[in-house]
Amino acid sequence: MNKLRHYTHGEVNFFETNMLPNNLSKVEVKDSFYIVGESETHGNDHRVAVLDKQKVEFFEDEKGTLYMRNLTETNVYCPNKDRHDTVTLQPGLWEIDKSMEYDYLEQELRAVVD
Amino acid sequence: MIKSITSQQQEYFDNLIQEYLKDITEFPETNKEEAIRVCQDMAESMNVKKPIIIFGKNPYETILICEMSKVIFGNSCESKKDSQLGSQLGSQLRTQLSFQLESQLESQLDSQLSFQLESQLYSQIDSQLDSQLYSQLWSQLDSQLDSQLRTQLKNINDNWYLSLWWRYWDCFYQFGKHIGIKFDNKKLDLLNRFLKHCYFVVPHEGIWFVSENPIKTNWNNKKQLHNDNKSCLEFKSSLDVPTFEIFCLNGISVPEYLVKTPESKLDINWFLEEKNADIKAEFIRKYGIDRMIHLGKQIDTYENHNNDWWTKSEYKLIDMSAIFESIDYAPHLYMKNQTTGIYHLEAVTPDCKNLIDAIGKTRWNGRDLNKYTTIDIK
Repeated sequence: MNKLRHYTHGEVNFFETNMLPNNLSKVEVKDSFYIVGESETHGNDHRVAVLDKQKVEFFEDEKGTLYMRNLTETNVYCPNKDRHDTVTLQPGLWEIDKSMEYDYLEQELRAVVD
Repeated sequence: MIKSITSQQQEYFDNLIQEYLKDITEFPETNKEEAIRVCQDMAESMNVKKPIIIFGKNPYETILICEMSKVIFGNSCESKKDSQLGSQLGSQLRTQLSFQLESQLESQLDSQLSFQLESQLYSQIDSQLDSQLYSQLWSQLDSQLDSQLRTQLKNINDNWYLSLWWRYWDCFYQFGKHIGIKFDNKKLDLLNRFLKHCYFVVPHEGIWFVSENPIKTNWNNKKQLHNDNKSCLEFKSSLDVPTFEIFCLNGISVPEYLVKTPESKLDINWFLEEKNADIKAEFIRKYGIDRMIHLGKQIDTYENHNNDWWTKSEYKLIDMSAIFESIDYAPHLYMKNQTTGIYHLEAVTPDCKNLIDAIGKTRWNGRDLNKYTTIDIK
């Protein structure tokens, strides 16, 4: 069985999916990029380049999970290239999720933030 | 239409970029006479009342002076227009000045040449100006105002304007002028002088509050704001102690403690309580990765698995329970950022007995590792 593809860009993961779930809401992209991971410390967000809004689309389910459909090669980048290399996603359907970590003091699982 | 530039013009552009870089990374002494003059010229161009100019030693004190003036003088120092002046100033810079100059530039400069020049400008100036200086100044000011001033002065008007970012375009326009682009010179001159002499301003009707420049900035060799043991952006202060500072390690905004505490005195409990992965990574870098992992016990290593990505990231699972008082088993994932070479140590759930568990159960939020193959980007 062919494995699904996975890309990582810092704490942001792109998990390939064979089909998008039903009942997703389309996310409006206003700029030539969409921020898929905000940065708290250096303004260096994780961004997906949206050069053609017809070919790179984002969707969200009711829990806030983000999905992407790209019909063309699509770059994931940070404004400051020193922090993470630019990743080029091949066309596909993707579920976008943050890496998780465990907090032993609070005894809870939480998304990694940077 | 200008379609190419000569080698002398290219050399001029290279030197101009270096001049701008020097200006934004070293900051000259504030020229108050020029600052007063250009603020008044800007007010005139905005068709608002000619202001008197009050200087603060740094952005924080500038806002403080502004707010104190309102307390002292009450409504006579504040009008309904004030809340609009900051955005009006932004609009003036953006719409009335920069956009019009940009339009003049575009109509006279070949698009391919424009793209080429802007690429050079972007690669040499933008990361320092935007991702570092502008971003760190803005966020520090915003958080300091939020945590301190907003609680002291309930009704603070955060009508301040940080114009630093526009210097990128100013540099482009100045080069355009050099190669013969016909601009509205009055607008070009006003934009250039304003950005040069006023990087931070709080405009009010009839009175504008302007911050003096930083007195020193510190950068590492990767052009990131950085200082090992004191603030990376130093400002004047009205008190014997600094009133506004920015602390960064390798471009990451960090708490003062992490910068000022010698590595031998860093407290591991501080690491445990910190929630931000980048700040924790800077703690590890300062504390020493070897010193850190020697506190723990290795449970699993990439060497036990046949996975290229894990090998390149040097994944290890380390039990760090020794740094907790009452936890018997506290597995942490040790890994290297392949771009920066910085090491991270992030906790995973106590049911993780090996790397497969750590990645699947915690990092990937319960996903089945066998379903995916991680694509190597290099």
